[in-house]
Amino acid sequence: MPDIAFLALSGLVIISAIFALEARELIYGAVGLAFSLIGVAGLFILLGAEYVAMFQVSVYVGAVVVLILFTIMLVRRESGRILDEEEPGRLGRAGILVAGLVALAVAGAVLLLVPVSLGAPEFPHVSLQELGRLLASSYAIALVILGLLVGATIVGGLTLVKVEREEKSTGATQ
Amino acid sequence: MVTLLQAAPAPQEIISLILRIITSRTFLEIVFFPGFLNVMISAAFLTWLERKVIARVQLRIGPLYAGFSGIFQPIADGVKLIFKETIFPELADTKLLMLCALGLMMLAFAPAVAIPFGEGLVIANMDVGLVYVFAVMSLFPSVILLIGWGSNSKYSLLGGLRSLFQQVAYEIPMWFSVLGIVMLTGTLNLTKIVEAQQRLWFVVPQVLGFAVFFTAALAELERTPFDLPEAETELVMGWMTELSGVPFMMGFLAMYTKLYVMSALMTALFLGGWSGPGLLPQPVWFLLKTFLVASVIVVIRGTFPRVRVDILLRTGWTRLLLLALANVFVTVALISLGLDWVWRI
Amino acid sequence: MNAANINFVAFARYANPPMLNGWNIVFFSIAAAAMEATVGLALILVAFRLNGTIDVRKLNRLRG
Repeated sequence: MPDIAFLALSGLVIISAIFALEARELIYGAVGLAFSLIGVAGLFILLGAEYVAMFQVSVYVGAVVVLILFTIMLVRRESGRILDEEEPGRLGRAGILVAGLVALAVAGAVLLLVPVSLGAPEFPHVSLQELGRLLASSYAIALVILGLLVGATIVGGLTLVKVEREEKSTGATQ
Repeated sequence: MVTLLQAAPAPQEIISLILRIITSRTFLEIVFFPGFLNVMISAAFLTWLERKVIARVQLRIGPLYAGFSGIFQPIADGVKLIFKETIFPELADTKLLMLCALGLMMLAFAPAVAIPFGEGLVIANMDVGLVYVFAVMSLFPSVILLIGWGSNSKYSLLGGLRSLFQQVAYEIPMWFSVLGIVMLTGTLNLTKIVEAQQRLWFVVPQVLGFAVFFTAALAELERTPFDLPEAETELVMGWMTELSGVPFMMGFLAMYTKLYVMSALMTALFLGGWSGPGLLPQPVWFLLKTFLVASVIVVIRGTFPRVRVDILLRTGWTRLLLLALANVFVTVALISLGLDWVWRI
Repeated sequence: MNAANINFVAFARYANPPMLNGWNIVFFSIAAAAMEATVGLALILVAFRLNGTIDVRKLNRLRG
């Protein structure tokens, strides 16, 4: 049973990624990225790391994909149609898709035929409190640095996109 | 290949497998209560409830003719919407819109999987249930943005952008407001959080947290006083402008499903879930409290004016966050006073 | 970056007892990647504002 789930999720990740790369419109690319990331989160759940999966969904898909979509919408105009000019590349794109599917089929055949025991040791229940304790003790410095990094990113990003307003020459009413 | 064919089960095994799945408890839970049927019927019931309550607040009567006191009005609405022609603008992205409308419906239903409607009446008792609910809710803004964009119309895009800003801004106070609860119980499991409230509901020590969560939930649900994305006098219907027929029904129902699920979440987190004097069965208590919360939200819709968008965003990013942090401080004070034995069973 | 994260989590889970260090590393990895995406997108916005286009074939001002 886990094998089928694993294959299905891996398939989702790979096919979404290929679709995201080859999509005609940038927006479809972002949607493909979102599906791919959700597939990765599913793989995390299969590996027993549910908390990481939720973290991935809320940060990557919930925030990063939104950012990407938002930026695409802001810088649209001609930029979204770049790929249209390269129509002769259709053969190459089909080739990549076929290669991806073949790779998936080979992986699937290998997993199902060769009696590889994916038998993982029974997953002992990992308590989240342990994770929290670990975060607060061994990784405390890294956590603080991450916080500073987040702050720096926000400040830097806001500074980058800040629009300089020209000084009003007559500020009579102010 | 030979191994694969040998591993395929025989037909009668497949039938018995399907029968076993259908009668299994999890499947029944998913389809009936507390799953699909429960959420659907409650969402439809909430549309009726809202129209009646708002009508009374506005000194009129509301739906009256479809059944006793208009109780079958949601069914009439659904039938009408199914038979409506699905018209999209010519340049709109039909595939994207249909996909996103369907996705919205599925996303709205997703958090209900982790919410306990009674002792043991939960579809998926996840140890990270709370984070799962919030992770699913963080997916809403992107879907709404895609609908607004794919409609290829100014009103929809603006509505989608406003909705995105609003929901993203209020996600963070929501995350912080439940931090107090997590500190007091030490678990993210929703069932355990409900069980921990046996002596005292969390709404009492976490008043600030409840207030912040309630406000943030109002903003996430796009209800007044935060319903700018739906401001009828400004944006026609916001991001739902270009949806019609079945996609519109999906978007509309998704909003009310979200309302139901958020009310259920608030009941589970703050109002003690299914605890109550043992006169009625536990799920009934849960539903009573949920509908009470939903009614309060509906009454607020009828009574408060709309908030301006910049005040709305500023409140979400700054003031509510400070209140939520104050709530965390209160909780830390409670713990250091040694009062957290109340919530440890 | 996703593949690296999956690797980390997989190794952490197959260890005996499962090491939570893998999870922690993945947290920081996801967060850092999100920061990277933020700054990158801000750069794209600025490039668009200055050039009117983000067609990379036209963005060759650093050359020559």
